[in-house]
Amino acid sequence: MHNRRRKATAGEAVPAIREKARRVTELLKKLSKCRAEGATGDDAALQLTQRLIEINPDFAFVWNFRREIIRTLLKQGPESDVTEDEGGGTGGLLCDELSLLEGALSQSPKAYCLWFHRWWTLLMQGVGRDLGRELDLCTKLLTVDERNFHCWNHRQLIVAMRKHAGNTTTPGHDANGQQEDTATRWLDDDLGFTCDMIERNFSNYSAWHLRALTRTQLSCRPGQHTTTGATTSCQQELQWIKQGVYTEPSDQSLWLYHCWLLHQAGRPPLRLVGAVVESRSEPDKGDCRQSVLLFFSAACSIDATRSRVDIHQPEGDVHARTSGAFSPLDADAASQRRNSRIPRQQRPLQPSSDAWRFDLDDGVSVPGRATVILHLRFTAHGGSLPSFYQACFLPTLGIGGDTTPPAAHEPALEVTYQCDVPGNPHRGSVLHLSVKDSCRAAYCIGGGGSSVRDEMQPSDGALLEQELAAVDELLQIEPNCYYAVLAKCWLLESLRPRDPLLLANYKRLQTLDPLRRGFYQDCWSNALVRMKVLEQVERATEGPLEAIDLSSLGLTCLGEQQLLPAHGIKRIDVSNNSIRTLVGLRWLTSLEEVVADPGVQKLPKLRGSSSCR
Amino acid sequence: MASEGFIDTLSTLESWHFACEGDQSPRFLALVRRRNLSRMLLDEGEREFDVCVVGTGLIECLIAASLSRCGLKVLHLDGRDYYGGNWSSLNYKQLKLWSQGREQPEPPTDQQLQADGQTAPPPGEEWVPLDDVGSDSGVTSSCFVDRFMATEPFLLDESEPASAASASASGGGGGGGGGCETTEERLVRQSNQFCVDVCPRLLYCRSDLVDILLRSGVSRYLEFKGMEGLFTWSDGDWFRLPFSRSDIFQSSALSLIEKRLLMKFLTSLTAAQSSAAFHTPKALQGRDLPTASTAAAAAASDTDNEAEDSGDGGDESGVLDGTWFEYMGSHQLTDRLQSLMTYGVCMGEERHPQWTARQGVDRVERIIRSLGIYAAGSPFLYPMYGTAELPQAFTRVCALHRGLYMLRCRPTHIIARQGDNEKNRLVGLRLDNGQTIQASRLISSPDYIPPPQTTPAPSPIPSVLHLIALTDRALLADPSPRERPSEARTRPSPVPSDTETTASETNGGGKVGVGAGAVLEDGMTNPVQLLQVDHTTGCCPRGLFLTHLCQRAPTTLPDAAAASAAECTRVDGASPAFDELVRVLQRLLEARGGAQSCRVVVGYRQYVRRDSLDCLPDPATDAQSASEPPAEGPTSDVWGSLDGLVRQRDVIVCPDPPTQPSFPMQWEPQMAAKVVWSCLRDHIREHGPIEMDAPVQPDGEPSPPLPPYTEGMLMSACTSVVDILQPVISQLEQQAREEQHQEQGGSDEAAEHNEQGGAACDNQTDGPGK
Repeated sequence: MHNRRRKATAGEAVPAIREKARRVTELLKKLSKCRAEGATGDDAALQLTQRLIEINPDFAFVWNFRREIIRTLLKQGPESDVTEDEGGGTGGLLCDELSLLEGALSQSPKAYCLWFHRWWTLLMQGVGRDLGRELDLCTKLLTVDERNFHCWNHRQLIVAMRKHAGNTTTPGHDANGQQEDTATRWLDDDLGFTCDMIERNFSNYSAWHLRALTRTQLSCRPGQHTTTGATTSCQQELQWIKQGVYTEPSDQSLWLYHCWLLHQAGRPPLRLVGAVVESRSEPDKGDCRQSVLLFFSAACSIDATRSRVDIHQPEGDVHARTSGAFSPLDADAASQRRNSRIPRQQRPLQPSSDAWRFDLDDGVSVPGRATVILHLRFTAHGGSLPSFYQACFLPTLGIGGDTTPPAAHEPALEVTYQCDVPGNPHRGSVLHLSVKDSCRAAYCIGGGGSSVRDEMQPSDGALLEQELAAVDELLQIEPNCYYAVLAKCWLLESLRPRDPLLLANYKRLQTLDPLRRGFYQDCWSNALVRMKVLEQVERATEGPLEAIDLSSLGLTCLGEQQLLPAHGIKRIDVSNNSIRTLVGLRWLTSLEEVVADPGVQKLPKLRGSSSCR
Repeated sequence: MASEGFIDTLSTLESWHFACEGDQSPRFLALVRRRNLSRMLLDEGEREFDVCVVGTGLIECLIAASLSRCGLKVLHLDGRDYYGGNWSSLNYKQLKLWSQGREQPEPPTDQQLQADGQTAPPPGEEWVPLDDVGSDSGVTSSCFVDRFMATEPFLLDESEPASAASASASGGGGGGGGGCETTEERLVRQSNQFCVDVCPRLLYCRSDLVDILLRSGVSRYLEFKGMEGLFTWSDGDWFRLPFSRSDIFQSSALSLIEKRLLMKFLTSLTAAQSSAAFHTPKALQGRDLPTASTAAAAAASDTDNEAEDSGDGGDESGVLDGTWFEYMGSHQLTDRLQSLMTYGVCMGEERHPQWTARQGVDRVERIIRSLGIYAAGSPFLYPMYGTAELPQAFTRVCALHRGLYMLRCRPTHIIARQGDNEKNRLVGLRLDNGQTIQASRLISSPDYIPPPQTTPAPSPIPSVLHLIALTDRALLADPSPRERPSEARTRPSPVPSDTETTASETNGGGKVGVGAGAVLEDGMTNPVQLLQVDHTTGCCPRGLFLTHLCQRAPTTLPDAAAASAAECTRVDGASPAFDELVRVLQRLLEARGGAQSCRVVVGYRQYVRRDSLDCLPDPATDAQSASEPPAEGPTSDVWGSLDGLVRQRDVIVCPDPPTQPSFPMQWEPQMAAKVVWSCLRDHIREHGPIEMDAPVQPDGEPSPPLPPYTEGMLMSACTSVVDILQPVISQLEQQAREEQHQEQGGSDEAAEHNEQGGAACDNQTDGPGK
């Protein structure tokens, strides 16, 4: 429970506690003796652990031992398999385990080991498990404490499990429609559940999060929603948030959901933010080699063997599949940096990066006007995808490994992007491809059932303009609500990224919410860099842009995405700023000279020579 | 003799206490254990008492229980055959009699009067008669006047005046009917399922009275039901007042801007409240609310991390100088919100009340303080089986502490004897069964004390109009629920398993067990406050709803005498003053779709008679002063000598129920505390510290005696009954703790002080080890 004082141990309770401790020690001694003797398949040992658990369920060691015992017992009695004899035998053993856990959970609903053990038991149970019971349990526990994140997690796992169960239990085409219905009904139930929780107390991050996930899944179901339907439901949702926002403007959970709804819902978690065709003249071979550089919103791993690039020429249906090789733009640095937080044994074999290079083979070139279609296949283990993405796709893919086709054994995501090669402007050795609305790209999940998700499109301009007006309205009565100011900034970033109002608002946020001053300063820097870069790129009409001057602007950081339009420049001046690192310049592959303040962390590798002043 | 008394007791029980048929609850046992002696003659040795309390209203019962608990010997009388006095809850038959002013039983015959054999005062004594006033007509001796009752068919339409049958004249005739049971017959048959409050009261969850109930253990005799909603009537439908953040979030009737303004207003109040509470814990006990200046001072003395609060406090103190409406205006509350706050939340008594900002804020804060304590989301509690359960519960406490109860018994004469300093002192009472008892103090409801003839009543008398409606349909119900922003498709929702859903429940809107509301429309003089209870409170049979409508009588109303003489209008027996209430009732009935569903209407007017609290010392100021009130020589006429006794506090006239058109209990505990404090002080001064003997435990085992109650202990007490009883209660609680301690085998560590019954006791920091 939150905000409740723990009761001090009363004097008369002390002997009882001592007695309890004595009993626990005794039992623990017996148990370790059992284990040392290797009596793991013993019913008596199981009883022993149960007695301990009944005294205090928060013993990770005991649960571990219990898992060992159960595993042995399950191995010992293969004749009473789950499939052969449901209800009795090992099935009964696992059912008893669930009941025991329910008792323990009511005693200490926030012990990690309990939830883990329950998850393990359900996995052991396999197909015959009763997921409805789990959901009921979660509802019950969340009614008691609506902020028990263990319980929310468990519910999330159950939902993923349920999805898988729905996929496997009823094969056949006729059952498929029915199956879709059940799945949709489940999702509806989830939505209703979040609604209940939110109405009780809307400051509930977990409930909003579940709602976001559920809505994403609902929108993934083919044929369930038309675009207009999704827009109206989005409008409804916005109206609902508004009720809360006007009740309590300083509640972050509402604004997070608001932000998600406007900027992330229906959008792919991984976006292609830019693509560039770079020509390099290699002096030793004498001719020009081209490569396509791809820049993503997050680090990812491209499965080089199964991805390809197609070039369509507008005249005729010339359809060239291009051969070449994918490699991370800056493989060593990228994988080192991105994976440093992942334990060594879990580090992917695939390199992971947010910028990839596709080197075209000799003699192949991108023509003056063409459409480049990228068929990319990402491996899921690659890098640090946003958690949202992980939660959305990975569990569903990971659990059902045995039923999906062998080709898709490894969780993967296939995306098709379309880039247009403009006829003009040709800036030096660099061709900027215009990425056609990468968020409308079709997604194919796994190898099995593909589903297209481009329905939910709240990020169209009219809706954003409407929300901007609504936020402005709120700001009139609550001028100091910094969440609203921030929401306004996000909206402006989407709608009018070069509006000077953006800079003013980021400055204002620094005074309104001083605890996040650095964050707002970085946002301000990024916005300013974007404006300056675009301004200078536009000014250079006659020839290729060679240099960008960003000196003496008070910048604190440099963003890769903001600098991307200037790709192709050879020189950049970022001196006389408060920049701490030049990592933001790493996408500018043609850079030869950097003017920076002394003491700034250098780029690991520059093609040319960098000079510091 | 004893057997006669026991039978009498049982008949009393039968006539009153069994609200539900076949009830074998612990209440029955508690009543039998109580020494309820009605018209029973007392033995010689049993006739000496310290205090005689007459009337079993809430204030009287609170006084009796407190005094007996502090060790005084109390005789408690009531002329009626049920408890509750002017706070009583009546069954249907009693209600009918009451509406005709016949709630007092027949006076005893002369033969019974001879029991004591004494008909004239002995020399040196003076018998001041009490029963010559008001015994013939109960109405004039009551604070409820202009009573009337009209039964079905209760048609307010003027086109059918002939069908308005009167039950009051025939006393049970009722409307004509064929073979089937008429409504009247049905109601009479179900009479015992009714507990109709004459003076309904809601309890603030955090208040003196709840504190008393918990600390004195009275709460174990009682059950409560949380009030389920507070409403205001606007635009032809009820609006549920939001009492939490999620209420405001979910409310569909409030606009976005209103939500923001309301939240800002309420949070500014709660912020001030919590910071004030932080500095002065006493403020949480329901009185001594910090004034604007102290709140500001407290806020200003805040530390740096609460700099914003102090800014608010300083800001607030400036604004709090104005009126309530100015204050709300300074928070930009819209007109609608202002009326919601004034009539709904603050339960304003009159149109556009002239409160200061402080008064209004106090009212809101009182509600806010009471939120989230017992009933989820509701600031009020309603006692199950009616308001009269409260005084009854206190009578049980009194009886457990040697209090003696006699119903259907009233004093006829006060016996006064000339004392040392030529003053008449009260020495005893003569009861209507002819017995004489000795008591040095009389505390009485004004029902039993003749009003002063000398001083004219102030005019106009502030009064409140009551209308009780018994209807088939709920007048108060939740507006239809808002659609939820879920994308759920239309699925058949599970049908409620309750097969006995009444028409009103299926009529749309959620049902409300206990709900209060306020109605103020254009053309009305004062707002009408409304309280509805249904069968879940045990106050009426299933399928019926009891609704109390109260309104402060407009100042233009003629006084009691003129009103009673006024010509009756459409509703039989009702004075024109009730027209507005009747119209409101009619409008609500029509809006709820059941113009014909009203079965019975009872109306009356309540006013406050003279009490003698003015003669009592004010504990807050007089605590240290030893000044006696100016004693006046005995005069010859009846009131004169009575007046003398009243002035020297030998006779204390308790106040009537406060005439408040809203229902929350506000003043009663403070009034009782004043009487208790004064009585204890006088008693200690006259007889020395009160020896408190072992209180009789419910299980019959005697507990060790308590230290005597001294004047010093009393002087440290403040103005609440809890404070006065503090020495007693804390002793008992300590004992209970020690017993518990011993039962568990003892321990080397001293027990920390436990919280008992959910009531945090701040004052009680001394552990038993010290």
